[in-house]
Amino acid sequence: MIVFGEGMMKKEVVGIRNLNVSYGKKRVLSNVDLSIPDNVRCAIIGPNGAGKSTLIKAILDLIEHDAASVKVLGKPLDEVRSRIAYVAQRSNANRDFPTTVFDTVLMGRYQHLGLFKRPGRRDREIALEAIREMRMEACLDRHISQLSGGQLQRVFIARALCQDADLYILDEPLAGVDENTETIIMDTFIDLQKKGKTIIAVHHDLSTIRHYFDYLVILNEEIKSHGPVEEVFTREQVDKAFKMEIDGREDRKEWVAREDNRLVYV
Amino acid sequence: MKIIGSYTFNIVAAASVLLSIATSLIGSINVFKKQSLVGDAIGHASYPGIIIAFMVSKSRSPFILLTGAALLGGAAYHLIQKSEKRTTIPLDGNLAIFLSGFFGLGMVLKTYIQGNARFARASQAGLDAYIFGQTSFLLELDLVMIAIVTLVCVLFFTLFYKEIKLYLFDREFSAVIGLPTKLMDALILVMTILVISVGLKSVGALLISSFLILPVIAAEQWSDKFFNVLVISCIMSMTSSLIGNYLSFAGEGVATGPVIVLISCIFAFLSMMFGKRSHIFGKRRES
Ligand SMILES: Nc1ncnc2c1ncn2[C@@H]1O[C@H](COP(=O)(O)OP(=O)(O)OP(=O)(O)O)[C@@H](O)[C@H]1O
Ligand SMILES: [Mg+2]
Repeated sequence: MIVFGEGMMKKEVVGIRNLNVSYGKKRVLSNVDLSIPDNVRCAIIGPNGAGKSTLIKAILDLIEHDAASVKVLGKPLDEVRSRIAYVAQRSNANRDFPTTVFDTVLMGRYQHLGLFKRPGRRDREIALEAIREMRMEACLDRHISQLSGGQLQRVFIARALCQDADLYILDEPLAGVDENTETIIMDTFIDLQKKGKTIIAVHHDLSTIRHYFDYLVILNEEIKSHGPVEEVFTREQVDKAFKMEIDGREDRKEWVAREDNRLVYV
Repeated sequence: MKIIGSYTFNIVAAASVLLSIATSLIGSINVFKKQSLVGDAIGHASYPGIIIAFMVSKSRSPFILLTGAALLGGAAYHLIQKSEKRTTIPLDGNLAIFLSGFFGLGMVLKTYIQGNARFARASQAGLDAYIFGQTSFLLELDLVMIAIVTLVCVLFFTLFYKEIKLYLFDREFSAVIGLPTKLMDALILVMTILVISVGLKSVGALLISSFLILPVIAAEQWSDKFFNVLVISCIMSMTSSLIGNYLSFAGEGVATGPVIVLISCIFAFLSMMFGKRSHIFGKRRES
């Protein structure tokens, strides 16, 4: 367990000052200031349309944005690209492209290969290991269009593992995967953390936050709050971000606020 | 009549083989970027470029005509992009507008100069070749230009094979790891325009885009590997092109483009029926 004591400032893995993003005239993120410390398992939560994917895309410079500064691993993005792994929410990868499961995962090695270099034996071993970790070895030579949605997600996570990064950014990695896979993925996160890596994942299931993550960012157009899960994951904070959602929920009674004002989902 | 081995047929055969390599490589990009129709628009739009270049220069030099074709092809692409961004007309609507608009302009200009005394001295023979393709008009200079463009495409693919693969499969991911996706877009556009321009005389403005995509679609039915698809596509493309040219020579004056594309269609059809990844008789199915 990681303790975030006062005065014990951790290195920051993502540092954002005054980020604003609009799609056309529509403002999606405003005045985002965010600092995510090194070596955490961080969840980003917020209702649909809150701007979670947008935040990730802005960090990775995939969309136009306006910011005073965005630092990743303490440096401008361009200097640290080879140290980042990424899994998109709904990958718009071309599923008709002629590539097998193995080839696809092997693409995770490309950022470590120089120009004009082909993947070598070591890269193949790493790819195979990542495929085994995601229990996809039975589908090694299958064309990716012949996978189910959950299997495809596992392939993309295997590709991310293959990237051998310091920072893993995953947009809803658990979307559409079964319970077994969920456990495998979460165990992998813990392993990565033990190796000193940082994981940032968009997450939707509030009931598992405490179990799966130790750092939390609550987002809804702006940062509602962020910090260690124990401090931030309270009814008050979550309500602020999910206001509409929670009021409209049938299962509202399942949210129980304990005396200490922590939110529990039963 | 002896065709194979004759000087003209040698030039034509060499040009077909080289052009097939270039069109297969660039065609694969167009197919997997899902922008085959853009190639079609560029092909049609390059025709008025040929005519305008001829009107301005009063010359049929392949180099000058190619420059005109490339410029107008590029202009059409630019307009399509602009219109796509600034209007609510969907892409297929835009493509239709500019494809027919440009090609119509080409046909109007061509009929205009046909009856016009100012252009009477300059021989117009061969301008028709650019519509349906007529390889018997192919000059050595055409062959040289095809060879240069093919060399550029082959170099691009051998040097940046893994980058191209990643870019085609997953553009967002390739951007995250730092590939210059915008630059690649631009390079690919330039190469598409060049390949189409040098291929016009052999295959024609109307069908050149089919010649780019049909062999790739056929090849795709046979393999799960990008590299194999490229190789199979090159082989099929060369075969259709050589047979097409031979038949067109034997048939004296039969337009080459339609014959080549017809044979490519047969290959594509057979591949769809029997290919390993096909839906019809193939053992595998897609999701
Ligand atoms: N390409 C786009 N063009 C215009 N608006 C967009 C675009 N992408 C997202 N938006 C809008 O921006 C807002 C934030 O979208 P975003 O995808 O970041 O939400 P999210 O928090 O990831 O939601 P979800 O939980 O559904 O994935 C939404 O209101 C959405 O409608
Ligand atoms: Mg999202």
